[in-house]
Amino acid sequence: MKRLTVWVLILAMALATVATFGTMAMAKQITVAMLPKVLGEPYFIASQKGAELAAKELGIKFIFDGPVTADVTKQIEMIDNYITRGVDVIAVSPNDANAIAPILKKAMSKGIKVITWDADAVPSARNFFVNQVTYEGVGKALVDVLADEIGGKGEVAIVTASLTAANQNNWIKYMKEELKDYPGMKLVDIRPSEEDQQLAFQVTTDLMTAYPNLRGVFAITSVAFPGAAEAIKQAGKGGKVAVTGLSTPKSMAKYVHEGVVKNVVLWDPGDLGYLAMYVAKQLVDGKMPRPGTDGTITAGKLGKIQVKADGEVILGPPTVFTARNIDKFDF
Amino acid sequence: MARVRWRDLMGVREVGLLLVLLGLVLVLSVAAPGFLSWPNLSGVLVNVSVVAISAVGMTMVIITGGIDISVGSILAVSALLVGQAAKAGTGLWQAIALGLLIGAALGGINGLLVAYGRIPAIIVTLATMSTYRGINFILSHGAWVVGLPPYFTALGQTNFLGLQIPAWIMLGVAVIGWYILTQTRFGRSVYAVGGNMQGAYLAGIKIPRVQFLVFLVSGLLTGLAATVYTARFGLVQINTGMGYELNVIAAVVIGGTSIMGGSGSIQGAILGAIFMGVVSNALVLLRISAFWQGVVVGILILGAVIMDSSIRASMLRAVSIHSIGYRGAAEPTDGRER
Repeated sequence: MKRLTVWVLILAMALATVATFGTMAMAKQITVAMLPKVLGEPYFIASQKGAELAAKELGIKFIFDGPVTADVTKQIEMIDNYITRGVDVIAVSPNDANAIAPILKKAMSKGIKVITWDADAVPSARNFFVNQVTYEGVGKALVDVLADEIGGKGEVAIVTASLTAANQNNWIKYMKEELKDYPGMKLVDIRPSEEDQQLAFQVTTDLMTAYPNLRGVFAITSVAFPGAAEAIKQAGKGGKVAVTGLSTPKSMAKYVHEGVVKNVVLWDPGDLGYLAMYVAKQLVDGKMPRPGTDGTITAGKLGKIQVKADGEVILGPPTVFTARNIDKFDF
Repeated sequence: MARVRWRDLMGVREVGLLLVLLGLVLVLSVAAPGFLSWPNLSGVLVNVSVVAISAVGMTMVIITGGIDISVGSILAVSALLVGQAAKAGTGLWQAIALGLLIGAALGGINGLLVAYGRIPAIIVTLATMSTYRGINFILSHGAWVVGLPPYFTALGQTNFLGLQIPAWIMLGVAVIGWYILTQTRFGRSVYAVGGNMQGAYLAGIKIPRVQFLVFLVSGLLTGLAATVYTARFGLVQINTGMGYELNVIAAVVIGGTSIMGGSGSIQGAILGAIFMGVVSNALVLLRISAFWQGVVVGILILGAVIMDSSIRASMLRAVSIHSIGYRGAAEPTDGRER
């Protein structure tokens, strides 16, 4: 009887050990296929590096591949291949939110977890969306850095994309909110630049003529920002008229070193890729907050990250690039 | 024909727009402080220079009865390659030559298809607009060219006699374009092809050759415009020249060139480009809300064209019909423009 008990105990322990090793081995072996919008763009190369770092930390088998032109049909083809090959997670930055949806739904029906990052698909076609920043975060950061540059006083103007651009309009909404905290700053004009750097240049020049007391310009598209900075530089008003906005560090580094621009606001695409891997891992492990509930996750070096009820994972407040750190970023 | 007269430079067609423009300038000098300053006025000239350079070529295309809506894409491809070459350290003159060459090659393809392929110009350039834009994506992988060297950007930003070089290039191109169009055999055949193709054929003009050459010139000048554009900003963005063709065509048509072909002038196109530049400058200076921009621009263009044609009509009554026929036998005689 005693012998039997011992044998049963040994057997149970052995089974438990095997089971434990089994689950550990399975957790370690997850494969994540990550697709950027397009290969070769410095922005996405930075994302790839961030994701590789996280994949190493988490023991993820990491595949990174994408189309050579920003083409959604190529992405669909590649995802179809991944479904056949059998991966655990597909993380994609779709070139078209609607066109990508059917293939992502197919992947989900085969038990593959799907996350979007950088850009979203139709929400029903993915589990989570790893988003850069909130509109509020961008609006607040833009106003705060410019207020800091001009001492919270003076006339300011916005050079936007087009009057119908959804992202820009949302940022402007929160910029106006934030401007209420700076009663000395007066928003005198909002001008479209239609994603045309020549128009951004021209409009910025004209704004300086129309408002001789203008102290600051927000150029809130990546196309308009260099145009606005160039206009201020060529007018010889660098240092007199401050300009900030959203653009990539590489395209603005020149102006930052010349002193025309002090702060460039954007997110770090490396961190975005890094976060996407942590979401992938915790999604497979069943550790993501249940859909429909707000929550947080812990993502390595990024710390606590907010997850919204609609499945959006927010990277956090934007990064501000200055003369001190701008050369470290290659996108 | 050898002697250049004032009447040759400012025909009835251009005087109307010139008066409208002067009127606008007068109003703005009073209403918009800062408008009548040299930095502002020279800034307007420099800003319109890129569009105006292309408009010289476009004028010739439209006079032959054609149209070139691919210039925005030609601008993008040329700007990209010129930018990459400048970044790689090629010399300034080589960069300018490269821009001209690429523009001419792309325009030449348009010309071949229109002239010898006998495909309507709007269809050819609609197709190449898309193709060239696609080539631009393939060549650039969607990435910008940034950090162009100072020796190159000097072309776009150096002051010479109070005016930046792009404005001088525009003036130079306009003078050469005017000379070719009004003082040479080729220029007269351009009018002839657009005004009366059958007559041109009977007069022994090689119509396909003329058609090919005007598209070549349109591409060539857009290649030059691209070099100027790149040098002005020191970086090339992936969406360079989106919607550019509309601005160029608008400048030409506001300048009095008939969209049906047969008549038009370089001076008119330059005035048209300047008119558009002054209008967009005025919108900001007058602090007109951006929401009204589209409406105001539309009304101003319509107003200018209506005033232009009524001024022209009343001048025509005063001047003998004879003096508007001087530009050569190619002026339309069917009364289309009267």
